[in-house]
Amino acid sequence: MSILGRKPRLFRAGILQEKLQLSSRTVMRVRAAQASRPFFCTAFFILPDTVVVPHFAVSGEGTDSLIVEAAPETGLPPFALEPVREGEELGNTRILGEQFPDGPLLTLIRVREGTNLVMPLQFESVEVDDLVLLPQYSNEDQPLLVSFGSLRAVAEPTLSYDADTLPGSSGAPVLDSSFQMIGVHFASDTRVNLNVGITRAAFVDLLRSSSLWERIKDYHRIADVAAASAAVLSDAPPREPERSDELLLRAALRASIDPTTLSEEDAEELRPHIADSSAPSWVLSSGTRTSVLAAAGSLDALRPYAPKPAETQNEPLQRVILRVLEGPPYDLTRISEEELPWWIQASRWFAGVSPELPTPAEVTRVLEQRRVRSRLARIASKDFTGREKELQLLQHWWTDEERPLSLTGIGGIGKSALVARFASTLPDATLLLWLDFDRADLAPDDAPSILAAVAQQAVVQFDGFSSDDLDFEKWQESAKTLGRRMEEKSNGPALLVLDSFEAAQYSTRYEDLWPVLEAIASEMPSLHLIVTGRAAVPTLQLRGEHALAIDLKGLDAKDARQWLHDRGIADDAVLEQLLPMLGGVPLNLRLALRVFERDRRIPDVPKNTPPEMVSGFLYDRILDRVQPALKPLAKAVLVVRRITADMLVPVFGEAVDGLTAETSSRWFADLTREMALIEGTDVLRLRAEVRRPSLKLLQGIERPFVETLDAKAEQWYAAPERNAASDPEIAAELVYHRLRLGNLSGATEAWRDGSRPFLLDAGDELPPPSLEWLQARLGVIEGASVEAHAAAAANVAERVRSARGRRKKGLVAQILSTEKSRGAERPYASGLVFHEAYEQWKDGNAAAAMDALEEGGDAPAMIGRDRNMLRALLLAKRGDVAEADELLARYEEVQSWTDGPAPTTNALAVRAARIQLTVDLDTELDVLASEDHFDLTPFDVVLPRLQNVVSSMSFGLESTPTMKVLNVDEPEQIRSYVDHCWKKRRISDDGPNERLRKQAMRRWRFAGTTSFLAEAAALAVKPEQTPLEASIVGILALFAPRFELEDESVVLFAGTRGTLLHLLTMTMGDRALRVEASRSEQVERVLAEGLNSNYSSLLHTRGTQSGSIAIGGGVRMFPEEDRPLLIYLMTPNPLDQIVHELAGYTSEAR
Amino acid sequence: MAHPFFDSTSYPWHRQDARTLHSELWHGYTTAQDLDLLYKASAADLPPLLNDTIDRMWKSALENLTGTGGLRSFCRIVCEAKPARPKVVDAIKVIEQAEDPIRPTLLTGDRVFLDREELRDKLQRLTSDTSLRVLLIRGDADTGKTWTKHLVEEIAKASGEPCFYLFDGNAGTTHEVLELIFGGLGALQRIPEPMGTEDAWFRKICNHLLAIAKESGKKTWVVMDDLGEYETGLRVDGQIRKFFDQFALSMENPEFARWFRLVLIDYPELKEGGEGGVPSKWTDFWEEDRPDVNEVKAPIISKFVLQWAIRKNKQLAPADADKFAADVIAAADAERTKPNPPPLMEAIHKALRQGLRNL
Repeated sequence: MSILGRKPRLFRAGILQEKLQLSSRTVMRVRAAQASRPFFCTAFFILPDTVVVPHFAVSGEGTDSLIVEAAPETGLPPFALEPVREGEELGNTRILGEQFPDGPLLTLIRVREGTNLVMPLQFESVEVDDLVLLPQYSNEDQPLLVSFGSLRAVAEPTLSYDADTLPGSSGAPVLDSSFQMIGVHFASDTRVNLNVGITRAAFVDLLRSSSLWERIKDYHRIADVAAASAAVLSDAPPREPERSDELLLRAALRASIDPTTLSEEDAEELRPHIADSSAPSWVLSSGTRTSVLAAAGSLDALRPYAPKPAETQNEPLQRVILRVLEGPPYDLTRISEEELPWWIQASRWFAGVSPELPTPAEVTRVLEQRRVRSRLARIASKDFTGREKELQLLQHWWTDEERPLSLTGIGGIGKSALVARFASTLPDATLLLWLDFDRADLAPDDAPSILAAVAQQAVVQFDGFSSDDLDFEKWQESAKTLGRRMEEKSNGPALLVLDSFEAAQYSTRYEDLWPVLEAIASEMPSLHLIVTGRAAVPTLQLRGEHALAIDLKGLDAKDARQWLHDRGIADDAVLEQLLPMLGGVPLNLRLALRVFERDRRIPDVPKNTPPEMVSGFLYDRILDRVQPALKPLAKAVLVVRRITADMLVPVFGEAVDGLTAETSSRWFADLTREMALIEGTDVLRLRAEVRRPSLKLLQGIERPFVETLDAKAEQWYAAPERNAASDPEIAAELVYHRLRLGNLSGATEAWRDGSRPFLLDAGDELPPPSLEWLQARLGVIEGASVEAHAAAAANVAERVRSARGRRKKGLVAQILSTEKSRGAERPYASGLVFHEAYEQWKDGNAAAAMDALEEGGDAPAMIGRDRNMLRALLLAKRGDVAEADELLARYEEVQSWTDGPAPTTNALAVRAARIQLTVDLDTELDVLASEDHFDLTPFDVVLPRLQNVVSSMSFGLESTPTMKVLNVDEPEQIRSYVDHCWKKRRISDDGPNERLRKQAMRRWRFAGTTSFLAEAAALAVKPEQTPLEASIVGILALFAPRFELEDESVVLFAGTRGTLLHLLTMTMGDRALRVEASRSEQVERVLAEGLNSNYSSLLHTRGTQSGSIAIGGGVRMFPEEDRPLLIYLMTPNPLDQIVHELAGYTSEAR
Repeated sequence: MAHPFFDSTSYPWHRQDARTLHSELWHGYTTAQDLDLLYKASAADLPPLLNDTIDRMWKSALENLTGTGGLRSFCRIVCEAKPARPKVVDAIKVIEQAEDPIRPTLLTGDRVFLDREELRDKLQRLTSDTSLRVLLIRGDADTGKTWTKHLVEEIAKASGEPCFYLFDGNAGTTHEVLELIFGGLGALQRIPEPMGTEDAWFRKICNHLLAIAKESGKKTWVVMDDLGEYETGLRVDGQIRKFFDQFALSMENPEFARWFRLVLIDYPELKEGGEGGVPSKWTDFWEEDRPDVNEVKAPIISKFVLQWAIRKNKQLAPADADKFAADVIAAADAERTKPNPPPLMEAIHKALRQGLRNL
């Protein structure tokens, strides 16, 4: 390509012809006769009846005639003119230069009949070197002439250009390559051998002083900046509507307004003050409402505008507004709980007119006080029945015990309801603290969140209680203070309920909670603690006392029978059938009642209830976060612990309708998203705490179904191609299913020593003989199994990861510090070397991170791998690329990553990281700057500008190059082509160019000897990518440019999905380019110097919030040749990403 | 910057300009032969059109052209076709100038939305990048936090997606919040009854919302304003924030996040000594944006005025826009020196409004 200027100067012939024809109709010839001698110049219409003529054409003494006519070829007759003396004179020729005589520059002349030949004005900016062309007439009696040239200078108010002119061309419009008028030609400057005119801006300024300006402005739709600026700078701005206008007042006193009841005028006046004028019901914005009410001055002034009570009594807010208007006293104790929330707003809106109103904080407190008890009533529900024994037990515990109480039971058994019922019987003054671990803001390992929640509830329930001065980050101290203050305020024992504790147990490291509670309890002897949850809490103790454990069972048969009987299921025979099935579980009782209420047929209730239980209990309670369409598969997969895409059809195909080879990938993808049930992406694992109780229920209801699936899974894992003999994890699954089927000899046969860690928590799901067999296999060492040590290390590391995943840096430091201080007591803490080093690195101390790794030394298996990954990253960052690569090479096989959820992706990411190490942008920039790059080809470099430069050097003929297509699915083809190219190359000295060439050779070898490109291309089409996957796709971009090489244009195709570049643009083209602050300095240099396009005009943020740089609008807006590098830069570095994920930062889909 | 027509894989029927083009095409080119000629000239390998009524054939043609990336070429061919159909050409000019809904500074109803480039980036990611699922708008008073909702509504509208704006004036209780969202989705009857603990109820609500959203097949935007904590107390019932905390937690589930976009305005600030200032269980799915009025300087206003001129079909030179922008800033600064000065953004908006009336 040889576009030599800033813009292309090539024309489509047809368009050029059309535009030139248009010029012949809009550019006029002026014939004047001065002293009977003919005289010519050029002009154009600025309005349909007004032509712009150089003044000198009409000013000469003895001008006795003036004819304005279109080009002769148009065949149009000359225009009839108004008398010349009525023309309007504008400007002065001196603006062209001091050498010109003093006098007007232009004259506007009116014609008698309007035309449609007006010269359009455009306001695009122009730059030196742009093409210009001048349609003009000469002094000779010739047709319209057109000359071409370049713009040479713009210095307002004049411009100069090298397009030719002849005498008679004055007054000609100067056009740019788009045929837009950029000036008016007047003269020649012989000193510099250029022609000169006035700019479009100067021309418009002259027109502005004309009496015709308003018409000209309207005709050409010119924005009148002078008028606008005058209005802006005026000292007397137009009056804004008074907000106390009657209409606004009425609106301010209404909860909402039906816009259809407003007149059009009122609606328009009100519209700007409406929060959402597209809503069917209009509500005044709160800012306007507050200011309108305040402007009224008093409640008396407002009352006349209030709606009548009968009009709006259904709206609680309206009732509140009317109550406020009645005036003080405002006794919140007399306000209903339904209306109280609105008093929060009303008390703020009306604060300016009724100082007696309570503050929003006071209203909130009253509301929350009310809710302490109303919540209990709702949790217990009006259907609460029976449980006398349990309530008595609780009462006994309350009065006679100090130890904590653990209340466990399956979901729906009524744990919360029982505690709520019990709490509601306590004296009103009792401090009730209820922490529901389903809450988003409560995490047991986040002490500040616990303390904040406790304090918030104490503030609500105690007058004059404050925690504002407590710093919950220093939790040890503040927990004690909080406990002391609550004890001082309490009039008796206080109750703390930790509800839904299973949520705490399975989502976080819950043991961290105990020290916090101990600290509170140490200052609060009256504190009674109840923990409710689906699983036992073996470590629960308070003040050194272990918990009183109550395992809540179903209702007594008598109570259950009575409950159903009272609700209409009174048939004894039916009840005999039904009650054992329901197990006294209150939720199941309600499900049976729902069946009865739906079908109204008592005999059918026993038959129709079990399916209802599976859906209403197992699904809604146990699997309540699973999407409905997936529930059949979710139910089936409860039988296995580990799921891969290829096992779906063989194991579950017969059990799940619609699960076929064609649909299995979709099912698997959907299953992957069920995070409440499943973990992982490639290999899915069921969350044990969810699976265990669910499987038990499922076995009870559908044993054959479960046994069939166990058998299918056993067959799957036993198949030779699974390699159970050599893969300990697969062997463990085979052992597991054989044990569940009672096949102990088969389990013995399948057992491998390496399988132990995978079976540590399998016991609860096995029948007794199998359980004993497994316990014997796991063995015990020094009071704790080897696996327990490993599990403890994993546990601590998991806590660190979990804390990082929630951005709890302080908590990470705390865990690491605690574990370090335990030293010899917990030898497994050495497994935390990686995490300590990682923290150092994140804090910007790479040297200390490396020291920590060196001090930790090598370690076996995955612990060693994690350390080496971080080590490789640190080496790469400091430029020791070869060493980093050597470390990475050890882990590019899938087997190295089987402990994680996505081993294939991790292995691929390691390969991506190795490829990334072959890129050296700094050297490329230096080479680009040195201009010593004769021996490089586009294959050797990744900077688009450098690729462009070296392409130009190797490719010079103005002919279309041959396209060479390489396919990512055929690495052999790539290798053969690249080898072919390399053989033809000259080898130079070992300078920067040779280094780039060697690195490039390595890069292309990866492409030609592995399936990296094909696998990465498969990731690129995924609609949602994890950051790790995105980092791999980013590396793919290195191979995406079109490589111009000698006489060939080499393009990599992603199979049938088009070119790699097309694929990447489609999937990543809209993503905004953002670069983290840590990389921004280098990246900014790369963007500034390494692109073909000018990126600085697109850079719109730099470090305003995050220290990052960002380019709006995505890479799609850049030229194709720049996109691959941008995609590479905008995606995470694979090695960084691997290390981040090992550290626990989430691998969310991105 | 993605063009809503040319960079889309499906014809944006939700847009009025898209429907206008379709209408002008089948009124302008009324025979299958006319259509076929233009259609086949626009791109190679287009699927054949089945014989049908001409409006349906044009509908299929536009969808195929958009899907295969041939719409831009088609527009050029139609504009150059002889004899010209002026109304069709006008409709094409409108769609050619269609803006990425994330970037405009002049919104529906001539509402001015200056700068906020970081916000625009984040909203773009909220729409296209599944790692960002919840956007918190934080910052000082009078910095334009609430104004954010206008851009969010614009984006939702451009995509034909419902957007519910909830604030202290229409959502005083959790029940009203639910009525507005469920009602807006046409599912008022499916609000679950309060049961068990508050958070169990919230979870159930989210499950119901997901089912409803999937049935509707449309993504839903929810913008909740006024969640802040002030010296005199909360602006809305604290239970509403708890609900949205749980709603946001549900966004961690990619399946849920696929159907919802959540923007929480005036979300409480991080308290001194705290970390993150969001519920403990939220992971990396959220980000915050802080409007910074001090970033609104003359070049931003100049850029806006140029865009305004394009939208209003007015001729304005960049130098003139610069001059006007400088005058707006000067007027706003002068206003701020008076007693009881308005917030900077209000002063700028006021000066702009005055100027635009005369421009």
